[in-house]
Amino acid sequence: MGDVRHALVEGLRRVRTHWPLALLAQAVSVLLAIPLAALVRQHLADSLGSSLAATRLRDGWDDLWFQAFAAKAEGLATTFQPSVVGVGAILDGLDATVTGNLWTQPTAIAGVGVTYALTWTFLAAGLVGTYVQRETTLSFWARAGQLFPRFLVLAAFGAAIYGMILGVILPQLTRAVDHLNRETIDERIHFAWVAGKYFLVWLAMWGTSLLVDYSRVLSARHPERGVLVVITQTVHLLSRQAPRVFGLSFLVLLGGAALFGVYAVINPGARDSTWVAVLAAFVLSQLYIFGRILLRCTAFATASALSEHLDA
Amino acid sequence: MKPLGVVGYPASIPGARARRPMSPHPPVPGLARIWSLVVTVAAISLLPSRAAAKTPGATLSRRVVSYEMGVWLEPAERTMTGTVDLTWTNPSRQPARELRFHLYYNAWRNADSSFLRSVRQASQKFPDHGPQDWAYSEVTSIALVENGRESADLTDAAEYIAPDDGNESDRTVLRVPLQQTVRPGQTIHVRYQFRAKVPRTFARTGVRGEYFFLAQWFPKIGVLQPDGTWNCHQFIQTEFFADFGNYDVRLTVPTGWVVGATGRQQSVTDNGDGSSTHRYVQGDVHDFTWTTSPHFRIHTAKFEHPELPPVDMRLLLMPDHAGKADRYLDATRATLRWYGTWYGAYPYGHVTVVDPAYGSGTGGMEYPTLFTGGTRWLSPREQRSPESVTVHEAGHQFWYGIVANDEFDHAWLDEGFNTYSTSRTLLASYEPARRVERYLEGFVPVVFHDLQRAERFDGADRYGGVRSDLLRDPMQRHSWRYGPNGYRVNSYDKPAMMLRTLEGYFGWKTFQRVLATYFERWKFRHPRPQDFFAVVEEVGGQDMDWFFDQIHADTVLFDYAVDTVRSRRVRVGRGYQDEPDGPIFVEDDDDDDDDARYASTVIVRRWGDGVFPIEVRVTFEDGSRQLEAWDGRNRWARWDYARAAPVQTVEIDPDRRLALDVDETNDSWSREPDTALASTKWAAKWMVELQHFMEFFALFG
Repeated sequence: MGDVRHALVEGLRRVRTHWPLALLAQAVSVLLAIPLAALVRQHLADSLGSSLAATRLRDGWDDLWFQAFAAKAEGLATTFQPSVVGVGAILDGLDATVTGNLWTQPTAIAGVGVTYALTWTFLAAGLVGTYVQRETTLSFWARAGQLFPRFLVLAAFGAAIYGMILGVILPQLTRAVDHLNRETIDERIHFAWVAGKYFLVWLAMWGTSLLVDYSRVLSARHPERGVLVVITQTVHLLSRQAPRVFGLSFLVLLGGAALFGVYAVINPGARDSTWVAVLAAFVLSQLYIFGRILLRCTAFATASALSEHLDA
Repeated sequence: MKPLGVVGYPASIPGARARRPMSPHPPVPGLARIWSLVVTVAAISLLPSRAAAKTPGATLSRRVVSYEMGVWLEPAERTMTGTVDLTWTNPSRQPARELRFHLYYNAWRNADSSFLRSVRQASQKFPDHGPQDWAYSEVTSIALVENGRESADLTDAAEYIAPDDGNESDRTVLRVPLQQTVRPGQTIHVRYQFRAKVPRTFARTGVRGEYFFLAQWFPKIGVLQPDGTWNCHQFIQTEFFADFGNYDVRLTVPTGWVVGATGRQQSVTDNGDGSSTHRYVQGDVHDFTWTTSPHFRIHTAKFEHPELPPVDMRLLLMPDHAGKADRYLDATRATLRWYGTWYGAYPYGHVTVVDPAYGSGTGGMEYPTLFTGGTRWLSPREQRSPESVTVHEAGHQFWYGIVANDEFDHAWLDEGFNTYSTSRTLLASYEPARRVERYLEGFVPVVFHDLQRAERFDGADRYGGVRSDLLRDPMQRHSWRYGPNGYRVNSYDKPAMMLRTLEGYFGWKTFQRVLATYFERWKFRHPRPQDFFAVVEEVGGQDMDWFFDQIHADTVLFDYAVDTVRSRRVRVGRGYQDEPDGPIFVEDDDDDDDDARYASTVIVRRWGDGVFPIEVRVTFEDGSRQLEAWDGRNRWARWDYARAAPVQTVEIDPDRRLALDVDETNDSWSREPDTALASTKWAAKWMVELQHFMEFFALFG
């Protein structure tokens, strides 16, 4: 536990020291999202025209208007759902991720998602390069550029495993669970099987993400080592230090859950009905996204600290 | 057409093996089984008289049929065997030379049945069924009975027919020629034996695990219409139609299994062989449905109201819904109260509510004095589950059970009426529904408290492809002939909106009298659409052909819209100028706003072909209002105003009387619309969701 506590404290310190770097990711996120949001806004405006439905939508929600809008929607407009409000904006993506349906999202969504993921890989290279304690005079961008090719390879390695888990193992498990529950008449039993299925799947996903993250850390600490060497060494690390590694990661995840809980309570839902309120709601939601990015940074930074501490 | 017993089904019953008694250690397995059957048949044979004398209370309907049945259910084999004593009175004006029976379970006999062919045509998921999952229904013998003895064997002459589509593989209708004609009003007694294989739940009947829900399970006689033709359609995509009568049914199931059925339970007899026989009796109904499972938990309560007769409510609840008992019973009470108050009292004195097993697909269905609800293990109140389906299915006791329309031909007379009534009852009894999203494969609900759902009769479903579906079939087309998606629209949504529109047109007070009169006049009878239209005109006091010709006989769409609104400031001369409240003196026309005058024009259009009188409310910036009445006939209407203020808003049909208008958004206009703010607000939320999706993608980056 001492190692974990040390890594957590040290990791948070590193994130705090370099917190503006997280804004880079947020900026990319906003820049990628704004053009599509503008299109959606136009679709909504065209549908509302000069109607009083706009007033109802301003003050809350108009279900009859939405029925009409959804029936006529095409392209990007079909992605507009009322569940974008409040925590629904997070839960929709979380559910898609957990159930392995993230990649079945509409093309526009998947397109910006993949673009952001690639950009994030580049930024992650710079972030990890910053967090690890290594003598260097390189700037953030130089470190990102130096480590990006390796991080890309590691991302591809991770994606291959994720694809196997979500694309092959999960469907097989789903078929097995459905078959086992063919005659089940108690929903709780079926739910237990489904929950168990996702627990196993996401245990494997968690392990894989830690494998990728610690491989990145090791790559940043020892850029002279080959990718395969780094991966092998990381596997050894995880197998020897599993409680510490998973324990530290679990603490970061708890932080994420707490952040979500706070946001679930304070977000204004659909009640923002003035320009000031809409702006405030938007800023609050951006703060939450920033918080998510910081958590990701914390995962890197604490992993870096733990990796160094265990080597020391 | 194939006669009974010839090629088409296996020589041996699928899955058959030596029957096993239900108890693990029966004294004499085979003899016990036979003894129970003998007891059952003997009990039926020795019954001295028919239904009317045995069922409590006065006769409420014209009892055309009387069934006395003994049925044995083998849960492990998923089979039933039974003996039926049917008394049938020719209700027509013509002599009858044959009988026709529904054998619904044959719809799932094989993939060549008309039912499964239509499933494949509609691209619905074809159930992936194993050998134990299919079904059949066979009449193994049928004979005329006179003076208590079988006088004529009709078995060999019986044959399957397909009167609707000519599909020789379909066996859902059995024709039994009679050796002698049955005169109008004459009563005959027929005895037949049948066996059936219960399907894995399909179309809301069947078995899943240890839960059996048995609807349309016995060979049921069709309806001989007044002109002497049989209304006995193949089972393709519609619901059901039968005559009123009496049912006295003995159901033998494993001891310890709970049974729910149409009617009141009269007795439970332990047969001593691991089985028990439950007897149910009900008069003045047109169907008999039952359910059994060892997992049901029984809850009872009483509906009481100062102006309505009491009703005993019996709820059969599955264990995973243990916390929903009160919700089921409260919803049933609400239905009995409001339907009873608005239309007429529920006459039977008892009702059975069945909470269907998870995954069974038997929820949301109505049968005389019994119905199925449906809910989830996790179901917040805001989702109105089981409330919504319970009110709807309990409501069917009135619209379908008591006012018993022909569901084959005019399904809207119960579904549309009930959809309308359900919305009304929910509005009267509950808070508005909220949007609920279900995550993790639908198991975990999350309530969005800010998002209120529209009620169904306000047109909540009208835009789910309804706009095009409305054009495919007129309501008056026989329900079983509707094309793809036509059934849902024309049986549920459009008639519900039609009734809502009539309510808006006449006002609730008058329209409630229309519905109450219709209910009272047609209870325990089989009304047709014209019967309802006649009541509307009689009680409403005006000819409504113009309305029903458009909505029932045609597929016109109603779409009124605000087209143009202009207000311009005008110069006026010094002196008196007209205002709605009388002339006012204008000193001088300068830039002083106090003397400002505006010339405004409002044009509204009729984009759809449907015509309906509507109101148009024009509100001016100074708060004054003008309510215009338009007969809605011409393609457009125009009003000009000279006022001290410009037009602020225009609303077509502000009280939303025309629920059938397919586009509500164009029904209003605002001089200062909130479009910019509203679209920005919701686009911003959409953007945030997109950003969260990106963060989830980044987990893999």
